[in-house]
Amino acid sequence: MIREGKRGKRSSSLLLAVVLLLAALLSACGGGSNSISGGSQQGNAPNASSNSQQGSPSADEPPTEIRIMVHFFGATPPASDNAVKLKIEEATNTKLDIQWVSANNYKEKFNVTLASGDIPDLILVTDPFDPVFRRAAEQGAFWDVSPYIDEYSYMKETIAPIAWDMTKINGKNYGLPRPRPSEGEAFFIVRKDWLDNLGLSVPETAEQLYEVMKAFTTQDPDKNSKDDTIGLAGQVDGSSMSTLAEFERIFYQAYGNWKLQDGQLVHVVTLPETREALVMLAQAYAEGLIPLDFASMKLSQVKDMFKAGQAGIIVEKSGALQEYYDALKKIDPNFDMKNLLPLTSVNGYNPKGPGFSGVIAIPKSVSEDKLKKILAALDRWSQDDLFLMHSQGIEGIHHTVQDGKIVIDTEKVTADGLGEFNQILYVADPYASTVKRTFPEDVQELYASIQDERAKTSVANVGTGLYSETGATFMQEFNKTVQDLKTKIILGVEPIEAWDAFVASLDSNESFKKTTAEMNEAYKNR
Amino acid sequence: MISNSLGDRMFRIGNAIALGLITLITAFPIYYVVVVSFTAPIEYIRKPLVLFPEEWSLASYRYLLSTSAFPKALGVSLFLATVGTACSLIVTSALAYALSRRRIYGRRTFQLLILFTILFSPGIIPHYILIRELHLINSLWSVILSSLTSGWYVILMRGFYDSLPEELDEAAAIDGCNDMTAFFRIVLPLSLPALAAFGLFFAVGYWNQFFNALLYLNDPDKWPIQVLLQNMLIDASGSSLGDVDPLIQPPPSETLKMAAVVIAIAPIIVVYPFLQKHFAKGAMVGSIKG
Repeated sequence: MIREGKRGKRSSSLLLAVVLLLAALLSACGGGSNSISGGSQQGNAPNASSNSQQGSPSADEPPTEIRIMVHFFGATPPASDNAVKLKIEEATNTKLDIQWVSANNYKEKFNVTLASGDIPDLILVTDPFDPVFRRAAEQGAFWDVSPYIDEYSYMKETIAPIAWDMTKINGKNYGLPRPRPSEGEAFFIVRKDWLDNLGLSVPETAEQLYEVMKAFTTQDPDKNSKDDTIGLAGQVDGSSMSTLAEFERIFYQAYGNWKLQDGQLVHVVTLPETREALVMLAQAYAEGLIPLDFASMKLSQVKDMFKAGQAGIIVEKSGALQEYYDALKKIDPNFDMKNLLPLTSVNGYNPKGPGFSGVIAIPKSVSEDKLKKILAALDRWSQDDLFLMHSQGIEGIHHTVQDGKIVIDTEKVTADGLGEFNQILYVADPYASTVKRTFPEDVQELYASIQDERAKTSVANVGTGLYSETGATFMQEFNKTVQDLKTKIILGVEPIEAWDAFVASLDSNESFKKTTAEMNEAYKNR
Repeated sequence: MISNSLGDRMFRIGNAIALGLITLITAFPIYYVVVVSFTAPIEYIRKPLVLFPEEWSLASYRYLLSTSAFPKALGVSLFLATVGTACSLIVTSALAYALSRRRIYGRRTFQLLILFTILFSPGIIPHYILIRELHLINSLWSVILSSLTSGWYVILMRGFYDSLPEELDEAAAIDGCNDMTAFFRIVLPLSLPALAAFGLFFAVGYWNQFFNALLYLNDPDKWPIQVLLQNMLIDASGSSLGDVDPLIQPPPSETLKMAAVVIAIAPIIVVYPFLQKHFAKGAMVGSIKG
């Protein structure tokens, strides 16, 4: 083509300039993130060259840079210049680069991070028995923290022995368990005012519970002359009984899918008590004691039902009752929170939690020196003055002290997302699931005493942490098949004989038998 | 000629009724979302179904716009939509134009390679590793580059550019343009309908960016509006009571969620009618030859 000399030079130099500009822009953006992704490597160099460390971090060393990846549950995570975060960094001599991932998406982000090999210094593992993490840990991708933990007394104290035991993989702890209260798992909460209105006593057996549900549905317990109440608010989902699960569990008195009978683990599906529970639930559905669309309702709808005063019983943790109380108070300003009464046990059973929720793992890419520094920082963080900031914040900003009592500005605390820091470090308050400091004094006492009563008869999930190779693939489909059948039986679409036929068919189901055998083996070896 | 026989009239009436019903079914959820977003939260809890609120309230909107996260996310999405669309248009149209000129060397090979990218895709993890190797993790450019262009659009646009005669290039050359000047001064102005249509496609695509942003952007300040929405709307604690962490705060109320949805879709709904005439013309653009 004919090119005019001068014009051609100008436009090609323009082109060159544009390309150079773009390249500069791209590398500038890349440069910023480069320092973040290379942070863990940069942090290692000065630490490796310094002398051996003791428990507490000294002020004359450069702050340890720790990269953390955890999930959060609110709408937005705490900002990177959060006042509490700055205070923690100051006290522990660290620089925290916290990567908050929404809990909805944590699993994907976790898998991608593990696969890319660029693992942060502290990473939350929501399910320590997940085969992906298990394999990575067994292949040596993560530190076994048990030999190191003894030096860090504060942190050690905050994590109950049960949490350590339950999270062992092949006898080693590939991460710090996140301690959680073990008592106070979600169980039935009953409207005491409705019981009083109808002259009923607090139910203690499944039959009594059924009678209460019936009375709540048919006898107008809220005395408003309208037939707008039902007994139990609950739903099921595609693969489990979800909020209606506890109703089933009171029959066989086991928490989870496995029950220990005569030293052997049996799957609850095979128990005759499950059949009884299904018969009763089908009857409850036929009589309108549970929601008509329980099979398609979402959890939030179940909660809304109870909050609107349309249901008399719900399965919930008593510590979570604040939102229900707030809603019911809007309808009836004189509502007494003690009317939300948690049941102690039904048929002598109530569920006991595992004592932990996931672990925080430290990858081997972190040097041993840095590992000790991180543990030291967490140890310092576990001490009261820092940890309490998660719930009450900083004086003057999040709370004020009036007459020696701390008055918390709950809105500011929520707005700053202080509670999310509990995802990284938590000092388990044994009553945290049942009692919140914002409840009235008498309610706090009531719920705490109920928890103590429950502790006497609570049953833990015996299957926690047990791994079955066959079960990992088989159980997913199996649970869906089981739940599908259960839902149909409750709806009345299938007769209870269909359940009998199904249980009988399990005798010849090889995968099922193999899973049971493997679970029993894992149990013996625990 | 439109015949007015009885049969035709019956058909038209039946058609109108059927389509009217379908429109109602389709439009109702949107109506519901808008109505709930303007309802006072107290009223929403009490009533099972709000068809027309007794109490109109802007409380949810006020709350959302007062948080720093929401406007920031809107800003990010706006940046992605404008800058991203501009980049996409330049790259796609340049590529399409180049491929449409028969004088280019290796034309067949390039077209085959582009077809290949439509059929196959590497998957999440290789893509993540690529972005990491380019040091673009936590940079907005990772999101822009990931959805910069698509083989489909290139081929469609190339179809359009095929209709521009080669004689045009020769005339431009005689007047002293090289390829670059010819492209920017002559070809681009002629292809405005196509640019408008594809520009809208790209803009909506960037506005709806979710998964790439989720994977590559770690800094909450850089999250676009869709990621923020998902955090608000989907209650992670609601999956099953058994696995729930005892420390979670209660989720935002329904009215808040609805207001968030309205704010997120409002810009696109507002912009669309203005671009619609270009859109209708431009969508047909690649299909007629000559």
